[in-house]
Amino acid sequence: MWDGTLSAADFQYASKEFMKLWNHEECNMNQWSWEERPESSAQGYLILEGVSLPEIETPLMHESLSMETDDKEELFSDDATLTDLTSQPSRCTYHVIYNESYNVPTIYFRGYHSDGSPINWLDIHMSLPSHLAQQMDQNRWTFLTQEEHPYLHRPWFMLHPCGTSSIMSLMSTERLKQKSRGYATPPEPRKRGEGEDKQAVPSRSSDLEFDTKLEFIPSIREAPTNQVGNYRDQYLLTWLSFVGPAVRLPVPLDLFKSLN
Amino acid sequence: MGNEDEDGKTGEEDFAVRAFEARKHVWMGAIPLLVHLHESEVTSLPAPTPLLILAPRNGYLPLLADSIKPHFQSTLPPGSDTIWFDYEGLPLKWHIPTGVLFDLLCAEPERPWNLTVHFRAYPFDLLSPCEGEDSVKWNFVNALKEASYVMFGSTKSVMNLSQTEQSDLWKSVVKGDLESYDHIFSRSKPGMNLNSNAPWNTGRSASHRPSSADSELENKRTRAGEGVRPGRLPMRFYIRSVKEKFDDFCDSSPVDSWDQLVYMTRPIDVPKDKETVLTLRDALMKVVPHLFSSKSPIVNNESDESRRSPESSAESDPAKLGEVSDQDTGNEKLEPEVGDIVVVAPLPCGADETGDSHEALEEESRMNAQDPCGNLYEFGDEDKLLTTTGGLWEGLKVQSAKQFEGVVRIQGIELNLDIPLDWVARNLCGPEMFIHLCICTWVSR
Repeated sequence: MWDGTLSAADFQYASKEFMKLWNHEECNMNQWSWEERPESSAQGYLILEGVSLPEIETPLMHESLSMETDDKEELFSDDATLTDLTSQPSRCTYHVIYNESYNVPTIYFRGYHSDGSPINWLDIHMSLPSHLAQQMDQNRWTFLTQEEHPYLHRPWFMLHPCGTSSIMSLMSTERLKQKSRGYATPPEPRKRGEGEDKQAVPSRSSDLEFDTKLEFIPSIREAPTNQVGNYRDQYLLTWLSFVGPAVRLPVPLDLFKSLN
Repeated sequence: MGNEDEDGKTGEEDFAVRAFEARKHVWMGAIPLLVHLHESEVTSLPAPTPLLILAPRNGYLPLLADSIKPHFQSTLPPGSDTIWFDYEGLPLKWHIPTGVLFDLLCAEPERPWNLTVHFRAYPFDLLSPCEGEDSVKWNFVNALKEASYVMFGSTKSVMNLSQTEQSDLWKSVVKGDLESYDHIFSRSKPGMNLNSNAPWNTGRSASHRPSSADSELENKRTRAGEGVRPGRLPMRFYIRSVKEKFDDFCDSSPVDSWDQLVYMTRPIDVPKDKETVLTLRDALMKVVPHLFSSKSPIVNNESDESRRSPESSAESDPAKLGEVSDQDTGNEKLEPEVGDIVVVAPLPCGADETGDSHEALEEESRMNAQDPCGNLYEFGDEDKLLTTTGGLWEGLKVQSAKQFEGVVRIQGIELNLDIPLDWVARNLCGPEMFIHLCICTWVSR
């Protein structure tokens, strides 16, 4: 069974395929570009710049925040300032970099508020749907942390890649077929624009949610496991479907439809 | 035969003891620091005297906070403390082990190492935030997980550690206590302990009584290279380019920005075939091939080459001469092995040689450490070459024509490039199992 990893060359290939798909799609999203890095075994990495994200605050998230110590948090919990922040989007840059140790893509990101101040760990925590915020709490040091960017050598947020290969492996055909048995009704696909950054995320423990997501990726589901080309073509999109929500990177659902 | 067995056992014991000794020395390695408080944070007169302190090579700078802070506490301006350090204005990355920072940034080892400590104005744009010991600890655990994944394809061995074991392990790292570190691993890391014959903890058998039958058996297995063979070796390469080749490291200008350095994690595949011995040179060839001079002489280097070579014991080493003359005539050859290969006789490569070769390698690495000369293409004398090479013969044949244009240091030791990588991984890796390899090269980026 496929272990869910990619070689450096596969990553390079998958990136090019992914860019073709994403950049071709007519949507309001920014375009991915490829940054050449000869010292990298994948020869470079993917960049998505200037993504505007609304500062989302919901009452639910406020409840999940029990301890507030910092001045900034006080500010956030104040309803008067909330409206103001919501209208001012923050800007994020995402880098998808091949991880040489885990042989999987890793997402790095950095963002700034409209006032120029960098987005910090708590900002991210507050902007996430509650189940992901909970993940962040429970795995303070192993889920999302600020790490040194492998090429820029500056601190960037990074989603830890150690679980990626097992999730990707779960998405491979054999396992999926086993798992999708027993779910009679496929979950309804959501419409675009409907709180994309909060859309159903396959949490690491829930099989149902995996299947939910995979409904959108029929070709991975139907492809024979040994069709190497296929998993490379769709690897990054599949991967982003569960990584994106944790880093608030909206993945247009039309991309999954176009795979049909 | 009886005698041979007897000798064999002694050899094994010696090797186990030596292997442990090597690791112990690495773990005991420390750098004397002279810590100055940054002038902007001095609020009292007279200014506090600098503090002399010993920093473990395998440690991390923020862990020194408890020893450093009391000395400067009284003079600090009001505010909350976040400790960070700089060397000649360059903020130091706390997640890089102190020894690596020293080897990388101090081309000519400066003792004591003059560092500036800050407790205010943390450079958040440059350094990852450090929230005290927890950040450092988790940085270590994550690195260990990564190393474990690289070697055995799974992070389970680390994830399965109990809370207590994890905290004991961290304590042993903070204290630099190799024996308890090995003990925790042998108890709870199936992939890495000696009972499952993994060759990664030779030290443990030595820390037990080497004379006991058990440890002899373990040593034997270890020597025979049985056990869990890692698929890859976790390595981090740190590359610093200096403007030109220098005889004296003092001449190199300091690093003012991290952008002048290249560093990266690059696991190295371990050949499945047990007979193939991978060397440090092989790893470098794979990751930084551009730092080897090509067979055809490079115009800029040619004069340097002929000037430098005679100093490097070329007269006593016909192999060397052969190679140099090849370069001088500029012959482009399809078979690059002509020089050394013809001169050095075919090598016996039996298992009996292993123990000796490790001794010889240790000997060599010590020699090299004492003799930091710029030329790394030195094998020492031919006898040593014979004992040390063995299975790496093949690698040599292909690569002997290429010269590494730089100096490689691991744990402060300037290494012979023909040292088996396996030995380096077992003895010179940090507690997070990574081999941190510092390269100072005169090849521009």
